[in-house]
Amino acid sequence: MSKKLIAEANPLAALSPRAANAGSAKKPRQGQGYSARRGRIGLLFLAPWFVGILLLVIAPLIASAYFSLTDYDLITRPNFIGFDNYERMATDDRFWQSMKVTGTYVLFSVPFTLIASLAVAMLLKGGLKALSFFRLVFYLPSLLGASVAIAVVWRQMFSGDGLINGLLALVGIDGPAWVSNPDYSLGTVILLAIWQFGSPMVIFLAGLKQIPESLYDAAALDGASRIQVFRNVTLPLLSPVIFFNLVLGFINAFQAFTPAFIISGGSGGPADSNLFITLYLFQQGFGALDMGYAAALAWVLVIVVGLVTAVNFALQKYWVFYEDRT
Amino acid sequence: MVAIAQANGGLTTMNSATIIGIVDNGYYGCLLAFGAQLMGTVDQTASASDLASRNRSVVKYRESFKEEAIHMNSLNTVTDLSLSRRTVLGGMFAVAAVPLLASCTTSGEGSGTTELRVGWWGDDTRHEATQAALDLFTKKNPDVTIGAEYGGYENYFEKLSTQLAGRKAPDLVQMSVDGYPALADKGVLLDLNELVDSGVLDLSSFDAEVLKQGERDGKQVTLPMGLSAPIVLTDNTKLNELGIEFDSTDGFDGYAKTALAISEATPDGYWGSADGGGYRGFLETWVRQDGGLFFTEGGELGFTKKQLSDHFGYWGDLRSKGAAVSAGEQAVFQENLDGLPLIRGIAALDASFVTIFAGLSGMVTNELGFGAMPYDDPSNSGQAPTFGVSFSIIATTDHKEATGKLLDFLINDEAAVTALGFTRGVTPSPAFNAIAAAGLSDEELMAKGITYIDSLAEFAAPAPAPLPPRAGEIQQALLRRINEEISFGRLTISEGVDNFFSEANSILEK
Repeated sequence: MSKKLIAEANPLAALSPRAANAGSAKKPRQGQGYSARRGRIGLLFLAPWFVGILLLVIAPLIASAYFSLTDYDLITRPNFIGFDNYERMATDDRFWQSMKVTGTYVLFSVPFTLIASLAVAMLLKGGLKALSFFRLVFYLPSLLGASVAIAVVWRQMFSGDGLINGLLALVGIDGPAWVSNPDYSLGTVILLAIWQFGSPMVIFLAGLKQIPESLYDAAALDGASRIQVFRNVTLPLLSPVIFFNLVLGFINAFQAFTPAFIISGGSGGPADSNLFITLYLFQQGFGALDMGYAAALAWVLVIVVGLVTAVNFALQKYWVFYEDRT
Repeated sequence: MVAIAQANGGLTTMNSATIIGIVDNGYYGCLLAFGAQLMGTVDQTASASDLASRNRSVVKYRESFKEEAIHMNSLNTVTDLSLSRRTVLGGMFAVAAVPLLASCTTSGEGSGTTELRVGWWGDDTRHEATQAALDLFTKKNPDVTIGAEYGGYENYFEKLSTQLAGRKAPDLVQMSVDGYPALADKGVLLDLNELVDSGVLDLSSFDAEVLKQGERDGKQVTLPMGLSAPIVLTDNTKLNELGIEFDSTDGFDGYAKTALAISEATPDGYWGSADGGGYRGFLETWVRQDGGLFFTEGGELGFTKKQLSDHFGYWGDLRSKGAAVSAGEQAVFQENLDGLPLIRGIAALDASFVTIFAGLSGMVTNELGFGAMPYDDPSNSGQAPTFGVSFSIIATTDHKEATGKLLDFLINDEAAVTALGFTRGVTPSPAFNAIAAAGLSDEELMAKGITYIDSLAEFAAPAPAPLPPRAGEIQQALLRRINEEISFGRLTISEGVDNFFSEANSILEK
């Protein structure tokens, strides 16, 4: 939990240890006794959070790992059944359907969200009048996005006689019932995710402002076109921030739950087209009282997210440019 | 790893409740029960505020260094004041103990007063009526307080199972005909005969045959409260306008003809009937008229692949003729009743249960009516009243007797019965029904679907066997989903039938 906050307050610190340490190393050394005492008191003050992590994160994690090896049903005592739950997934069509839905969602929502947020951040970077107003306007969807209300509104907008079809009717197009057609309903959920580009946008804005003006001036003197400037100055210097947004985007996208839950009324329908893995494990755990299987599903999700993140970190050396390592 | 911590952050929200099952009483259990409680009440807001705070921390990106400096200063101040370690520690434990105590004391016996909790789902009329009846009880028993936990049907059982895991379930809970078997088999529901034997609970006014429907292995685990039956809903305003009549006794062929006639008499975008292929009432009536059952006594599927395939074929035929709504329109209906094609004003015939007819009528301006499921032979109608909702007492309650008294009050006290009325349907107790019906005209009784259960008795089939655990998953989610896959053309009928049987059997095996 605390790591998460640190990471988000200072994205570069999480990714580049050297950048993070640079600040603290410069602090003047103080007397050993004073420093040690202060360290202990610091730990003391952190204790409630450590206890919190231990009881509310680590312990449930261990418990869920154990439950994934049992037939736990939430009510009676669990019996150990080995890896049966994991083996069951191999032949569970709905599990594979949920992986397909989640995978599709991640593959589309993450890149498009990044592109949209970067594009808007570039627009807002310039000396726009009433900049903070526009920043707020573009950021608002992110505040609302995870809420139930907006998913309800979304369902309404994209229904057969909703706002979107009303607009399409004006230009003579007879649109389908978007949310209740299995060919389109996942698309509307993806669109909802892309619309919430506020968080990465704000981070991009901060990243863009850190790129030294002098580089742009130099590029201008050399007669570089706007596209060349973007490709050779902006993109490389922004790449650590892009990387940060990419990693966070993947992790968050894999855990999407609320919109699919609301839009499908909790069923994952129509025809399982919105059956996200999180929704499926919710159905299994709390609906079918098969918490052992749900815990196993959760761990498969953790492993998938871990793998994707590991691949992301492995690939970063090919395209992420850290200024302090040149 | 940031990634793992993040990924787990979301998952542990669900998992924190699960640990309690293996932890017996003790502060740890209490803490986690507290977590489960939080989850039950603020699960949606938590994610929103979590996001908000996360975003704020990003906005404050640049200011974080400044804040760090301020924190350092305050830390120094603390040392300068030479705050003793004991004070600091003591303070921390005091802070940590607050939620712990709060979650542990609620279940304990207070100073002479008994705290009961009652949980149910329903609409506003049921909420108000039940609350009024509960208030009557606390007025008569000032040493008892009652916490009411009510809401819609959506996720009622998910919430209840979470509460059961956290040992925080209400004492008296509303159950459903397809929800109670699974819980009863896990030993969660109290055998009401215990309370009958000890003279706390009087069930003598209840019909013995219907009471049996609430038994499990010879134990009275639930008390049937509202009798229900599947019905065909009709939009009478529309039918009158078209001059078309619907008659249940024309059978399934007649139903198809009526639906087609309505479609042909109305413009595009209006259909005769909703798509009933995913509705269990149609399937059950269909297979029972053909000599089958939905579930056998032994808890297995009681119909053949051929029968299911005929059922899907019937509705596929109606769709292709334009007599039943298109797949996309039917799929709008997932869980919420306002998604029903008839309620949305795009079909004149639909199907539901008689217990919710009054509620549905209130949702539209058109005048609604209803009839039995289609049948042509009264001796083989394929439909029977079963109870829809019931009451159960959670076996682990600390207040068996007090909860028993409350239940007894709700079904036998005249004022309480008057307050409750027919908000859960016609009960299996003639005495209860007589009190509840006092002051209502015949028309009102008809409009509430009260008289229907009596008239159904004239042609009803025998009551079906009690449902196997998890039957609800098969009758609702699975049937609806397979019908969607077929109607959207993603599966052929025979593939859909095969999938239905394999999924249903794997659900029933567990």
